[in-house]
Amino acid sequence: MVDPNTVKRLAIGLAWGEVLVSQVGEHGHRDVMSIGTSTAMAAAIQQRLDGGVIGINAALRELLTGSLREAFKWDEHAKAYVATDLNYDDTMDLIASDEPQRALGAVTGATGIAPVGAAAYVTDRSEQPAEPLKPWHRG
Amino acid sequence: MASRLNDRTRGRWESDQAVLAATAAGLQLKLGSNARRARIVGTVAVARPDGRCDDFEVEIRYPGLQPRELPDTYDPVGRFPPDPDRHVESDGRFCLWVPEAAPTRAFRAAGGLALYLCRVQEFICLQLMYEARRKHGVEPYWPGDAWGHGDDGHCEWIEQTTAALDPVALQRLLGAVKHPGKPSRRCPCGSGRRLGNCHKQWLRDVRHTWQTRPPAQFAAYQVLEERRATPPAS
Repeated sequence: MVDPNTVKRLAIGLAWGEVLVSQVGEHGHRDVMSIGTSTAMAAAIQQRLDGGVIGINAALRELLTGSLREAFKWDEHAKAYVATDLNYDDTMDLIASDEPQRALGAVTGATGIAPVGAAAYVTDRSEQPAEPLKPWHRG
Repeated sequence: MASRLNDRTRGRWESDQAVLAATAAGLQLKLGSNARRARIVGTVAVARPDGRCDDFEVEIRYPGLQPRELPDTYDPVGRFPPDPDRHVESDGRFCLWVPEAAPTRAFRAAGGLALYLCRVQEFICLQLMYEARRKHGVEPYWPGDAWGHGDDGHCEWIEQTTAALDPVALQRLLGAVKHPGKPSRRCPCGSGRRLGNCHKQWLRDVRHTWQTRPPAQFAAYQVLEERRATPPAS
């Protein structure tokens, strides 16, 4: 059992760009070298972050779409776009929330698959002529 | 208990129990001997976007002992905090739809409970998406469509479902809500079709909403007034 108080919260720096990674030196005396700024930029971002924060550069943020991109907000201190406590579930939910009705169709299809012998009870949206779910509140 | 259930009602409960056993093993129908209301309690499995399933506790409360009356779903453990923006009321009730758009007919039909459970699962999925969006400041927090809160939702529904009607036709239609007449007569909307083939279900949905929520009537007439004030599109 892992004590939650001892869990390390990592800071992660990510950068997108062209970089050439190779090795230089003679046999048995080789060092890894990289030409390009991306690796250094990722390291620099990471060093400016607190634990539990993911920081990315602008080029990488441009590659993201929809809600996941919006989750990364500019942080002046880190000089990067950051998201705090972004975990796997959040990432999946954010992506799904960009097209919720499409995601729900897949979700209810997956959840409602009935055991063998009860196929009549498959609760698949595609088989139900229903309007998309549109909640309300009494106010 | 047995005396309060006729064969038709008992048959529907039995088929609903079969639905639960087949599709939602975590849910149990509670139909106790002294119960005044039927309930379905337990956990419902909800598939996450990556295909995993998580269980969530829900309580589905029927208004009475009639299995064809559309129930309400509650969050009995406070997993989803009450908040108008997330469509959860102070008592934990899920606001799945504006009353006029409630799938009462579909629920009465065979397999209605399966459809209802499907909607509950979808609502929980939307809740999880809402939580992720809110946590990371992605606006609007609610993913997808939602009706306006309170009377705004009634107005939106009336506007959407009567968008093709002019003010005179809408007034005739609203006037027929309480006394729609026989299905064989002409529909008051002026379409020329029989009421039974036109706005019969619409009138029934509106009438039921007005009975359970009287302010909805004022919202409907507010839409009428706004439509009168709006010049017709050329």
